[in-house]
Amino acid sequence: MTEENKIAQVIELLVNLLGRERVVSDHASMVIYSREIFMPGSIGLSQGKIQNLASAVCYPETVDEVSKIISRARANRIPVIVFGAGSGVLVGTAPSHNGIIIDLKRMKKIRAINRTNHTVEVESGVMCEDLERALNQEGFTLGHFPGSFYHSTVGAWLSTSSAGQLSAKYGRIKDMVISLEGTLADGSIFRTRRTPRSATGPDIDQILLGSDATLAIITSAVLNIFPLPEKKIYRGFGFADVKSGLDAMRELMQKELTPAVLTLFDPAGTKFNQEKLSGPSSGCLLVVGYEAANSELSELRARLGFERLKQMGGTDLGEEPGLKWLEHRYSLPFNQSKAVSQSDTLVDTIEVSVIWKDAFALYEKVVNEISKFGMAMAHFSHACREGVYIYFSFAVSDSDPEKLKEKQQKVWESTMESCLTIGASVSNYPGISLRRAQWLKQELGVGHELLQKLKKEIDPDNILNPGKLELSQEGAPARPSKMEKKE
Amino acid sequence: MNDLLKKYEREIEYCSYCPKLCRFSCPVAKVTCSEASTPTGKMTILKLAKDGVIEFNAEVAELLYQCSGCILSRTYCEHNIEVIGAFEAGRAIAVEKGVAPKRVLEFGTAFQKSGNPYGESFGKNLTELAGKSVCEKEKGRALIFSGCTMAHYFPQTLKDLVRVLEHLNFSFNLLAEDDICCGYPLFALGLWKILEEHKQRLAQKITGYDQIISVCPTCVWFLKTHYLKSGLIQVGEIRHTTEFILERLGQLKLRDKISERIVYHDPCHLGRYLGIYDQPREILKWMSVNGFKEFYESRERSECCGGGGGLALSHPRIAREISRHKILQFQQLGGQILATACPMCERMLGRSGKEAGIKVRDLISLLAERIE
Amino acid sequence: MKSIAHSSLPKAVVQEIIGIVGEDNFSVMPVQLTSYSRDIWTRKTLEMQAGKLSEPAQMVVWPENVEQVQALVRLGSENEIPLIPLGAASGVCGGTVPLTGGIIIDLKKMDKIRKLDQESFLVEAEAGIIGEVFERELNHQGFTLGHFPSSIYCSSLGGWVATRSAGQLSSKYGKIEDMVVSLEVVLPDGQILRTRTVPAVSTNLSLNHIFIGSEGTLGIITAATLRLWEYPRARAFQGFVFPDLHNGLEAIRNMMQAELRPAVIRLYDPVDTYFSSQGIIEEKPKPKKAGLSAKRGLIHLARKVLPWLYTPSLPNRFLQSRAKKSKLILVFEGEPEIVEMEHKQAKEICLQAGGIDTGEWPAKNWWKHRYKVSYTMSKVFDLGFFVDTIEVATLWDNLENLYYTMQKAITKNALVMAHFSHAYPQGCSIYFSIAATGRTLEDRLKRYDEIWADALNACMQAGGTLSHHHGIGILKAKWMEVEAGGANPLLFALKRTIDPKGIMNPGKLCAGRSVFARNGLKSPAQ
Repeated sequence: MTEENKIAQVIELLVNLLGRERVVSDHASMVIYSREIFMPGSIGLSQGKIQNLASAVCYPETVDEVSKIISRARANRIPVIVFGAGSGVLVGTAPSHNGIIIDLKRMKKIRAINRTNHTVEVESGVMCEDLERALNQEGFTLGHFPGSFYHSTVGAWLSTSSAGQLSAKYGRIKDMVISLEGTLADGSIFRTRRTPRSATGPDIDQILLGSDATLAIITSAVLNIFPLPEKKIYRGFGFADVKSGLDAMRELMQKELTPAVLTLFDPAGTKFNQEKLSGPSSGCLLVVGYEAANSELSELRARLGFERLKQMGGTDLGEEPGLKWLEHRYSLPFNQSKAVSQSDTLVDTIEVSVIWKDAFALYEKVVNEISKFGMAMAHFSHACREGVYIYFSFAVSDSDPEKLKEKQQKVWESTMESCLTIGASVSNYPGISLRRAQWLKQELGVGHELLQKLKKEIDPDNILNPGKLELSQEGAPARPSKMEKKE
Repeated sequence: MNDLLKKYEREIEYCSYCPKLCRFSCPVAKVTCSEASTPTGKMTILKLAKDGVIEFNAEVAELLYQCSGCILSRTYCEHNIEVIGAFEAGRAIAVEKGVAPKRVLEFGTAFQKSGNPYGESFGKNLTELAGKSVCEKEKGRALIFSGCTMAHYFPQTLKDLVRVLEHLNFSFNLLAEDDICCGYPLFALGLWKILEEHKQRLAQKITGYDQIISVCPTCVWFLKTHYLKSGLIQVGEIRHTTEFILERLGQLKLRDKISERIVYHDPCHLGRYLGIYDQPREILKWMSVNGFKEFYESRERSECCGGGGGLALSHPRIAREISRHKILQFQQLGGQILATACPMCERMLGRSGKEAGIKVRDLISLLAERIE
Repeated sequence: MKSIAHSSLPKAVVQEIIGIVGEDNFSVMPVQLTSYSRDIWTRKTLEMQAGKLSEPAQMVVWPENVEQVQALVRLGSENEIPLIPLGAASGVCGGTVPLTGGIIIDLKKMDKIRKLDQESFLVEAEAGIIGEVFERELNHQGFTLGHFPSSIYCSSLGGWVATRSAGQLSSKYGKIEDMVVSLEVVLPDGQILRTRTVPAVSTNLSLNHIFIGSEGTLGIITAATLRLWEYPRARAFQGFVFPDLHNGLEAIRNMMQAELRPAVIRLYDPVDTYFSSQGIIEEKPKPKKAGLSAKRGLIHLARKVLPWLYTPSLPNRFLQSRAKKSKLILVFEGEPEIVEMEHKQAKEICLQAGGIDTGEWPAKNWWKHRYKVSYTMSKVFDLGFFVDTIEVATLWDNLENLYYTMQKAITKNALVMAHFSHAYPQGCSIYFSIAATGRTLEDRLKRYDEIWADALNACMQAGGTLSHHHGIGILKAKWMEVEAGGANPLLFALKRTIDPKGIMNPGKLCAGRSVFARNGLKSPAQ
């Protein structure tokens, strides 16, 4: 069968299932979608033709339709890429051009907000921002999320959100999800039990959530919701250095004085943001925020927390830094600063999670290493009882674009090296090619092999989101950097 | 068989149905890590043997000997069950059937010949040690009963005790006989026939006193429950040396007090069996500059040295491992002297502590070396 | 008199095993194997009571380190011998009962606390450590794990992780999966998987979650790193009585949704409340002497007579109609000022829901005897009855439906009472206690199976979950297909991926013709 015939067959298949209005296959749309999906650089112009184009995009509206699409795709050995329920970006072997794209944006119902259970049942195609707004109207919230969250769908967030994205108060993925609905990579429909918790074998929800849409497509979820906080008590504290700041953070987290927001800026970060946040002129700024629906309890925690911070050497800088942080928090990183938006400068962030014992040592080591290549600053957040996330922002400059890329590379490598030596973990992986990454293999090793085998077992023909879990030629796992907030 | 075990039917039943709630405290189970060694495990096997589901053979018997008699399980058991009685009865059955461990049967034969576990001529040795004046005099009001273990392993302590008592101007007889064993080892090992003969012999030699005082809590307990209660002997009261000494602390003067870090070990037979927890502590406090430390688990929760229940004979390796565990804890606490009030504890802990250079001492000897 | 028959392992295999663990760390003695042929599953207790013994495993081994476990697993895999990892055999679903012979790998000699990181509030401990020993050791250092299953005296860390256990204080401290940071697991192919000890990262999460709850079917958990809490500095007790169950449940829901986190939150249904206020359940232990043979005669009589008189529907109906009130027990612990405020707010919420303040004592009394309820098992079995517990969970708006549906289903076959605990903002768990009897062993087993079938069928229909924290084992495997809601293929894929030969604890967790059951072998106990 010729290529054209194959494509035509695929489109016919979809049209029969969904109807003509919900299948798109014009060239322009294919280009736009393919660019969104495939890693820049893996699509090229060759002989005037754009490679790696999918054949069609379809818009299912129910889990049954998704299941049917997957099943038919499997039968015909056609790759399926899911958009809006995964990180959405692929590295490595891209599928051939007769693949199908499933766009879940038509599954956009907020099915139910349950006031008795404090849950919401929502389909994957709903934009997180819309969901949050709808919840707010009912006096609820989904919990705090970083900026990138607001430009993606619920499905995307569920599949890619690393646990640390959520604030110390609202918890991690496991605290969010009650039940999932979707189809497995083999097309079978599942709806996990609606229960706050069970002991019925391995937790399917958690396994699927951590697998980045390679084992299943999640079409809807029942999620926890929280009553909207009444009052926000935010404050800034100054600490002489990173070490004392980290000790203070740890104290709050380990002594049940858990705030909703707890972010420490290192001296470089504090200085860089000094104007925006009204932070101290030297040392570190610690932003602490308490908010909860139970305001009496929250105020008590705030009072005790602030007292404790002062006991640990913090200077009370008043409300202003806290409130300003609330206002400006999305515009703080390097790449948002006009100062570094030159073409000979490259900015990037590396997100690392580390236990308290190793936090300061890691920070010091990485910052020292990066300083050899460019500017670095860091902030610490998403703390928990056992550790914290460090967000390193760095900027490297070079007039030669090749050398510029090299510098970026070197920064990543030395950071990885430090992480491996100290025993911390990099939670996002670079989408750019890297030299054979021994350290990543070491870090994931047996576990990665297991996940790959599992993928093969449930999806032997590698139909669903192929290439996601495979290592690229250079040995890096195919997990791109988080979707950045688009300007 | 059923006659001996009928008395313990409730215990055996309750234990077998229990989800093994006491198992974390059993020192033998801790060493063997076997489900069979837990109190519930042992009782279940006993039940199955009693009910005829399995054969009461050497294997079953061997399991019933895997117990040091510490009854720490009783502390935690909210049925308030004492499994020990059922095990002891089970062992008697094993001996009767001839399926008890060979070592146990051999022990019985040897005991019959010499009248004590060590085959030692205690009559002669103790007289030499303590002098004829306390051993071979007219029957007085008080008898000092050393028991076989102290006499065999720590004759020096006995000598020290005699010195302390003389210092107190206390009039006493010291029992110096080959039959110096109270008989507990025979009881614990199920050698009940031999025990009966022995009891008759010993009873004659210890009856008629106003009080019997012993350094060994096992002897105190055994004499009380198996001789005094049944009326086999007529004696006013039977007491442990710590009870006796505590009353007379005012009469004693110390040259100096202990300044080293002491940790006190509650002997099972002194603590859980006799309920004597405070007296040794009072004495220690009085004797020391800085007081003493407790093990993490003390008093009713104190952990065994491994020396009781005949375990040191029937399963010497398990017994030794149990005492090593205690020594490890002692080291973690940073102790310098491990003080106790029982010759068997002193023996077990002393032997395991020797490798680590740890000083294990009985209260009496600590006291004696400091009296002016 | 029977002796236990078992087929022995090939000589060469035995020799190899001795080479791995040493002479002292294996046993094929019948007495040992018999001791390992049951856990605390009621069905097995009934069989033991009647003198019916199950087919034992072929050997028990006690490895001392992870390398030995590795070698054992490789050996098992090469020779296709079933392997059953075991902690303290305290499960109530038959999870460690050997169904097809094999080797029991008893982890208790791996019982060390490897590392205590006081700065990061983390502890790494080996799987064979017994709960109470673990907790006491942590207490010495000023920490608590916060995990207090009523089996804490007799269960192991490995068992907790493998079955997804939850403790009595889970409303504050979370359940085992909230505590696990990383695991060390020996996979069926002999590789060691060590997930990373870092604050939660998503791939780590999914790897951990493959093994948490795997009940020994996917590998042997040999160690875990867990997050700790500071030992609480204050504790407060509070009791309440509600005019009916509904109001009590409202109170609990409101407390959890008001962001209060009581350590213990326990609402007794009217039947349970009735019993405890009559002093029937909560009698204080009296010191008892051995040898009360006269009383034994009465017990024997009761055993013979009671099964004939037993018609549970009558007392059930009587109790369910008479008993109305619902008792609530609350315990708070942690930072003193926070405890005080949570206590105060809880009282307000309870009063608002129509509750009557009964002061400290009910909660303090419960706290003092909180593990005691497990002791009542022995009394009941001695009388010739049997008890078991059925614990389920669901969301708030379905809770009373689930409760009444299941109560109705159980009522005709057993005395039934329940309490509600392990509360969440989204829902709650229900813990049914049942007691029943029968005239013969067959009769009792039949009734037992009927009770469970009726209860779990009702549960599935009413949208509840099969088990909140006891796990599946053999007992509930039949219902896993329904429970999984279509996700079973993933479970089977996991099994086929990780344990293609099906040697890990066969016959548990999932029923049916799958690699879980092991080809060619009998399905789990009928």
